[in-house]
Order: sequence, then C-alpha cells, then structure tokens
Amino acid sequence: MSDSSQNKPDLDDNTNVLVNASAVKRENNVLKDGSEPISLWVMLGSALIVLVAGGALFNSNLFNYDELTAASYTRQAQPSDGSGGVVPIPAHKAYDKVGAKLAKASCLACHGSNGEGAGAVPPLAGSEWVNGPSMRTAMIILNGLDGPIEVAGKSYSGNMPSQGSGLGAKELAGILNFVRGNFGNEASFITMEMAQTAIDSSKERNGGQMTVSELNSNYNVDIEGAEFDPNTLVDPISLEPVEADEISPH
Amino acid sequence: MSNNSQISCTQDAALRSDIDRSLRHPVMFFFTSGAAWLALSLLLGVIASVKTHSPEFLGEGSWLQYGRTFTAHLNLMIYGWGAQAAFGVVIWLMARLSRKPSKNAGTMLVAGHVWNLAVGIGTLGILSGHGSGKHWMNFPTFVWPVLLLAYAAIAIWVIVTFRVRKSEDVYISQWYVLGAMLWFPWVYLTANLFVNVFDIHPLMAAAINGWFRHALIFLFFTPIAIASSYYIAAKVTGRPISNASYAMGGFWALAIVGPWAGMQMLSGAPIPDFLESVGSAATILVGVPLIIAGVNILKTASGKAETVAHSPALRFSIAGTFGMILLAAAGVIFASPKSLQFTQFSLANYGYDVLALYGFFSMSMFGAIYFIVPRITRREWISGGMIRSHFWTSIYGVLFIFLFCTLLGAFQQGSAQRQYTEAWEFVVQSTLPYTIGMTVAWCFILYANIFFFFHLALMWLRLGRLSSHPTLLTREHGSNPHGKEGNVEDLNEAGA
Repeated sequence: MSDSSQNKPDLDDNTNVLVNASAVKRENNVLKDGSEPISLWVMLGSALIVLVAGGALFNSNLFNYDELTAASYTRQAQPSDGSGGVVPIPAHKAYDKVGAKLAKASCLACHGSNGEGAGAVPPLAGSEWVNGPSMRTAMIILNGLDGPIEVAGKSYSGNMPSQGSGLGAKELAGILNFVRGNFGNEASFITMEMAQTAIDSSKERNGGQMTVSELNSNYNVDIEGAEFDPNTLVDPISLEPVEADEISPH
Repeated sequence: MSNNSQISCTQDAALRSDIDRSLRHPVMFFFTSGAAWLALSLLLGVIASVKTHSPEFLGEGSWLQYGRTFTAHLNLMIYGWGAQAAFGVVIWLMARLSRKPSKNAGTMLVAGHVWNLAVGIGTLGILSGHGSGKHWMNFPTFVWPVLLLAYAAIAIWVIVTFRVRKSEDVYISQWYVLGAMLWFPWVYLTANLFVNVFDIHPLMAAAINGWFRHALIFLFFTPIAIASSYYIAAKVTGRPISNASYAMGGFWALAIVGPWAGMQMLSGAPIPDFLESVGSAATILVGVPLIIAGVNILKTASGKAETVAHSPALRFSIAGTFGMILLAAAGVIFASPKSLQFTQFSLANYGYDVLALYGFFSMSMFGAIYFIVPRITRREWISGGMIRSHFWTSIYGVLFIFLFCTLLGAFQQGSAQRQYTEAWEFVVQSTLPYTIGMTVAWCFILYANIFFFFHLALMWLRLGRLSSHPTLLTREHGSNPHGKEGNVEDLNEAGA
C-alpha cells in the first residue's frame, strides 16, 4: 500500500478514501487486555449453575442400563371418560381385576399360576369344589380346609390355611369370581351382597378349618342373593353399579 | 512525537479503510440478504403463530399450513439470516483484528450466492412439502452438502486471514471466531451424516438431532455473538476488556462444556440414561461461560451509560449480552430434569430457540451491523428513529415471547399435557393466551425488521447520509461528541 494509492480516488468514488471515511477515522483503537478483578456476580452465578448441573447429572441412573426409562416417565394408564372421572366397565371385568390381584398372592402360589394344582395341592381348574355350590367355595376360602378331599377324581389330604383375614365383601367376591371364571371354570357370578352373606355365615361358626363333611352337610348350597348380570357396568374402583344417566355421553 | 502518532493514526485509519473496502461486497451482501431472509422468516413466523390459535387463517392451501410455515420460518432464521449475519460479521471482524485486507472477497461473494440459492431452494422445498421433517435441518436432504461446501469456501478465508495476521496479539474475539469456524463443520457434518446418511437407530438419530440443535447454538451462534460483543464493547467505549484472562477462561469453558449439550431433548426415551443427564447438565453448565462472557462485556461497558444509550452498535450489543445472560438462566430453568418433564413437549423449546437466535444472537449481530455498515459504505445510517424503533420493538417482542409466553406458557402447557385424562383440546385452550401473545410479539419483531431491511438496503445502495457525524440515538444535536456536523466533502475542501 503506497502513498500514491492512498491519495488516488477509489474506483467507484470521486473522493479520496481517507477523506470521507470519517467513521474509520473517529474509531477508537482496541486496547490491550485489562485485568479488573473478577466480579462477585460471576462467582455466585457460576456456583449456582454448577450446583444445579451437578444435581441434574448425579440424580440420574447414569450408566444403569437396566432401567430403560426414568421412573418419572412411566405411568399406569387409567381409563377415563374425558372429564376426569373413571370409565365404568362391565362387572365381570371389574371383579376379575380385583380378584386377580388378590388371588395371585393368596391362591395361585399353591394352586399353580394356571390353577392346575401342584403335588399335594388340588387344582382349581375343573374342581367341583370351585364350580359347585358357591357357599362351599366361599367357606373354604374364608376358613381353610383340613382332612381328605376328592377333587376332580383324585384324592388329596388337604391342609389349607384360612385365607379369610382381611377379606371384605368386595375382595371375597373378586376372588370367587376370579377362580370361578378363569382356568376354564364357568360358574355363576357372585355379587358383593352374596359375598357379604357368606362372610356373615362364616362368622356364625366358631372358627377352625372346614372339613369335607361339614361343607357337605351345612354349606352345600349356592349363596343366596339377587340375580345380577355380569355385564352390568360398574365403577372399576368401588364395584358399585353405575346408573345409566351417570355415564357421560361421548 | 505528536506528529509521529498522528502519522501512525493516519496509517491506521488507512489500513482500516483498506480492509473495509476489500470486504465491502461480501459483507454487504451477507447482511442485506440475511436481513431479507429474516424479514421473510418473521412473516412466516407470524403466519405459523396465527395458525396455532386460528387454524382457518389463510384458508386450507397446503403451502401455508403450520407444519410448513413454522419449519420454513425457523430454518430461514437459522440458515437464511443467522448464518449469513454471522458470515458477514466474522469475515470483517477477522480481517480487522488480523489487520489484513482480504484478497478473496470474490470467492466469498460467490459462495454467498451459492448459500443463498441453496437456502432459497430449501425453503421452497419445505413450503412445497418436501421438507426432511428433522428439526433444525428441515431443508430437503440434498441441500445440506451444498450449504457445507459454500460454508467451507467462506470459512477457509477467515482461517487464512488469521494465519497471515500482522499483529502478534490474538484478541479474544479471534479465539471465539476461530472456534466457531472450526466447530461448525464438525457439528454440521457429524449431525447430517448420522441423521441423513448413516443407517442408525432412529431413536439415536433423534437424539443426535437434539444435539445438533444445541451444538449449533452453543458452538456457532454463541461464540460469534460473543466475539462481536467483546469487540464492539471494547471498540466503542475505548476501554480494554474488563478481564482478558478471564475471558479466555470463558472461551475454553464453552469449548469444553458446549459439545455435551442437547440429548436431554429425548429425556424419558429408551436411550442410555447418561446421554440425557449429561445433556441436561451440560446445557445448564453452559451458563457459566455465558455468564463469564456476559459480565465481562457488561463490565467493559460499565460507567459508560451514555455511550451505551447513544451508540446503536453498543446498545444492541449490550442488549444481546443481557439476552445471553437470560439464556444462561433459561438453560438452568428448562434443562433440569425436573422441569423437563413439564416443558419437554411445550413452548419451552421454541422459546429457548427464539431467545438464543433472536434475543441473544440477532441482537448482537444487529449491533455489529450498525457498527460495520457505516464503515464499509462510508455513509452514515439514515435515520436514528428507525434504529430506535428497531431496538425497542425487538426488545419488547423478544422479552414478551420469552418472559410471558415461554416461561409461563411452557409450564402451563406442560402441566395441562400431563393431565392425560383430559381431552387434547384442554391443552390447546390453556395455552391459547400464550399463543396469541406470541403472534402479537412476532408482529412487533416483524415490523422492526421490515424497516431494518429497508434501512440496510438503502445503505447498500449507498444512499446513507454523507456526513462526518455518526447516527446516534440521541435527540439533541448540541452535545455531539464529534463536533460540528457537516458534509464530509465540504469539510475536506474547507480544510484544504
């Protein structure tokens, strides 16, 4: 860059570069680096940020590959009617759900996950004690059973403990309908009122396990109760039937 | 002695003027076409925003439906405006700081035209329904290699300029610019290869897409905005960077933390958990380098309130710096796993994009443009009022979008989404005030930038004021620090 080139007008200008480049001339120089002390705000802000970031990093599963998704991202879906309430479902499904949960813990551990029985434990599937008169089934569940018993053509020496503690009408009805409606069983439907009747008559006994002879002499009947259509819509939580006008239209 | 310094001062001015002249064509081309794309992007953004609350707006033609206008809006903002403003600032800044006039303006100008052509074709592709459907890379897939090639033809000269620099000292802005120039091809190529070319698991492709979005913000837009603000703040106030070694620390902190951010976008998805939590932590931690740079820039300009108020360049840069600090806070708020559960699929992502791209990056770029353009055109900005309204409508718009629509709206939308027993309409209803607010805010910003584009275009046509006075944002003329105003040619004759 020689002096002469500076003094010549630019190609598309009729004036000298330096003359009308006033913006360039009034510019400050960029100064050498400063070294003021670090601001307190930087310290505080950075400390806060590092704290939050550490929380984000170390409150997680990190390298745990067994958990596919973080716990807060999984959720049991609940049926809904669109207004926040629960959707009524047919009674047999609702009772089945209640019963399945309890039966898994109380019944199927011994009687097999498909009710097929195991060794000294008789099966539920195809058992006349399950499919037969419902009072017998209820009393066995509530009080347990002792002594020899013939189930589906085979003899067993039973010693089943009572399962009745903590069972309310809802739970008993659920279990009864579950075992009487699954594993190929197709016995009559038990309502909560019926289950309550069974619980009441069990209380009239003086406790102790059932025997086959007592069952056959005193309880060889179906539990009394009003007829109930298993397809009636009920609330899935309370199991109470839902009136038709309570169901919001979709 | 005084004579000597006068000579060196004149030589300095001559060199600056030489550099400005050598780069005037590519720089003005990048700025003006960028501003045009920005105006178009904002128009599409307004349409997309209206569509979120009034879907029947503009009828049922497929070209202007939300899915197309929104992606076209966002991609134009990134590639049409953001990248081009960055190119213009970067090539000029690097040449000035390396004290080297550019010899490759022609190449960069050609590359700039290729870039614009690719962006134009890509936008038409999106609007005609051929978008790729991948966030932040929505142009049809054949566009990305073209953009990368055009980028290479521009960035290589920035690096060459640095290599042949005359001054021994390397200014902090040069570090940031150099970093951005080298990070962009890495980020862009990696992400596009994995998402568009290699046959990888789609979940990982989505995670990489989230990484791409954050890497582009933290490793391209952020360093360039910081570089520009460091330069403008020091240049206009005539003071050194408040603490230079600390500024370097900020650069390296950004370089170390930035690349880890992004995969928290897929929180809750069945990808390895550390990808999400490291992404969250890094997005939060990026706040540290942002605050270091932000406070450093603010302290450089502190005590010069009048200069900040009067100089358009400094005022925009300082506003962008506040945007940067707000972005650091936004990262802490939105990227922590607790709030991600609410904000992951809400307005928060878009609001974060808007804050990063407009409230922070664009404001800094406007600052640089208001500084650079008078120098390379050798004309002063025509109207201070226009600059002032550009500033205030931008500020109102972007603050409203972020503080109201994003901070409040995202959490309200997120918590409405979590009430999964409700119909989806409930979510739409509860977000309605925020989407309408966003439309209003975008209208403000659109208004600001249509006038900005016209202002810039007039400057490009060399219709700026031929004055010895800069266009300051002050109403009274008496107190001007640059003395008596006059036509430069008249003054020259009087002096001679």
